[in-house]
Amino acid sequence: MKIWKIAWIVIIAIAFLYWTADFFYLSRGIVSSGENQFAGLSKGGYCYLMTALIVSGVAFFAAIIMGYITGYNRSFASRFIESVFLILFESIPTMFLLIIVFLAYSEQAMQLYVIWTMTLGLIFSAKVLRVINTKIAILRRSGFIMAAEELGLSHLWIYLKHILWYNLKPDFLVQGLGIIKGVIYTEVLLSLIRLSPFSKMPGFVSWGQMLYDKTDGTLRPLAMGQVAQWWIPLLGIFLSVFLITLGQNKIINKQLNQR
Amino acid sequence: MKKVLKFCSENIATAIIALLLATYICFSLIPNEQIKTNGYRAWLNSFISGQDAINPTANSTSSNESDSKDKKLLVFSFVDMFNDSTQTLVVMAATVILSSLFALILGYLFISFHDFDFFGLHVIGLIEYLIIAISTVPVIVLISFFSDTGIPMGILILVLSDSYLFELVTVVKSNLAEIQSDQCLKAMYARGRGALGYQWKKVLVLLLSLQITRLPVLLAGMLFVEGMVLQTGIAYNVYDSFASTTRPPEPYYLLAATVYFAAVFIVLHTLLRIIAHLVDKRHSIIAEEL
Repeated sequence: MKIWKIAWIVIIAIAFLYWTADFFYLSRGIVSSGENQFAGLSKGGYCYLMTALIVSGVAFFAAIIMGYITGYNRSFASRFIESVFLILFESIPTMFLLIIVFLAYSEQAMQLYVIWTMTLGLIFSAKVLRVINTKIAILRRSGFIMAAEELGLSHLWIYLKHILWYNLKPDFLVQGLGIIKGVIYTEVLLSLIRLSPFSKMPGFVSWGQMLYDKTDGTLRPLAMGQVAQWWIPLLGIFLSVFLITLGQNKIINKQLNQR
Repeated sequence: MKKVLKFCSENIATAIIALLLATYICFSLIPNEQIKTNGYRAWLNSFISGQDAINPTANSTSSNESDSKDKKLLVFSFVDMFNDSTQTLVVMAATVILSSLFALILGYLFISFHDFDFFGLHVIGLIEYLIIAISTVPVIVLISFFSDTGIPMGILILVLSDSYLFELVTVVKSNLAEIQSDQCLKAMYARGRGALGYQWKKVLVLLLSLQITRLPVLLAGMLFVEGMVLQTGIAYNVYDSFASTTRPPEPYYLLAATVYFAAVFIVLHTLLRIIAHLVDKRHSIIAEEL
């Protein structure tokens, strides 16, 4: 799938979610999205997608720079990133770290949101960096990279064009979809314990918060079927994550069949 | 031997630096007035001895417990934390083993029967969709449906292991598919030179690596399992330290638990890298991919 097609899909999805949320708000004169589940669902989807875009932007930007340093610039920095950064961000408990960030910056909403997304972006960048490193390790031995080097192309050009653009697009797509999924999961879980930055941001709607509002926080009424409309936020979470995983599976299977 | 020792010492040094950095990040994030005024040394002493640094008279064995229980800080020591973590680590280890087994069996099935007409297209396809569906249900939602039934530990482990099965199966699938695409491995396989054995070794190490990188995420699931259902263990204490309604949020325990688990995972990472290096000394591909 071409990159511009994906970009269009993302833009249309954001516009659609934004428009439907506005439509529900305006047509029914609703002020709070919590009063209308479908408006909340739509507005929540828009918030998740925007947050995922920021998080993936941070993750890919950091991973691409670090990937070049580790792949082509053998220095102290590359050894530091390869060993310390990767181990650190793959070992530190994600949820605990995000809770610490929340407790530390809970007084200023915007600062909390920015640091929260940056932290999540750095955590995901370790994952993306591992994919880039693996691909570089495999492709370095391939003929076309050696030929490009013999022709005198710069390492940066080979890295950006031949490795990232021609060979890593599908992997990046899988990772990007994974980031959207990760943002939804993380936010929903955090909002169930009332530690989500979405709850502090004005105009932000969280599906986890909607689920929490329908229960007493323990989710027991949910299990007993005692709450009305509890299935709407759950449907949003399940459907979005299910469709994203289906997309990931399709890309991975296509890659496997091409081999 | 010299090379192996060098590799091991390098990795251990890296692990120590990573651990120090993790501790620094966690501490620097908490702008806690109590830590600032009392200093880190007082906090460290309290952590080792089990005494409350802020209010030394209020420790776990104190008879003066009625004295402002609402304001009392969560008192803990390293030994307590180690004991509390046993249950969490056992559940996580069981989850890792169970999900690895699932992934190996399913991944092998997908690769072996993918080309068959009926079985490959329909039955395997159906199992694939089922795994995706199971993997997409958030852990907390599944747990909530079991929460009133006096949930047995076995089901909890199953629920946790299913939540990221999709990624594990993908690793097994793509690495086993490499045998069919990689010319060198194909030739080794055709001559019976142990390509399959080598690839399985690689699959196992990569699977273990993915499992270790997923442990921090699994811990988030444990936060809910222990916090909302079991109500014992280290994750429950962490949950209680900020979700308690009887006292203000307590960052110390959360901080200590974060550093503790980061240390455990860093040690596991280091061990895995060393094992991968020893397993794959000749090719050094696995270690490079890790």
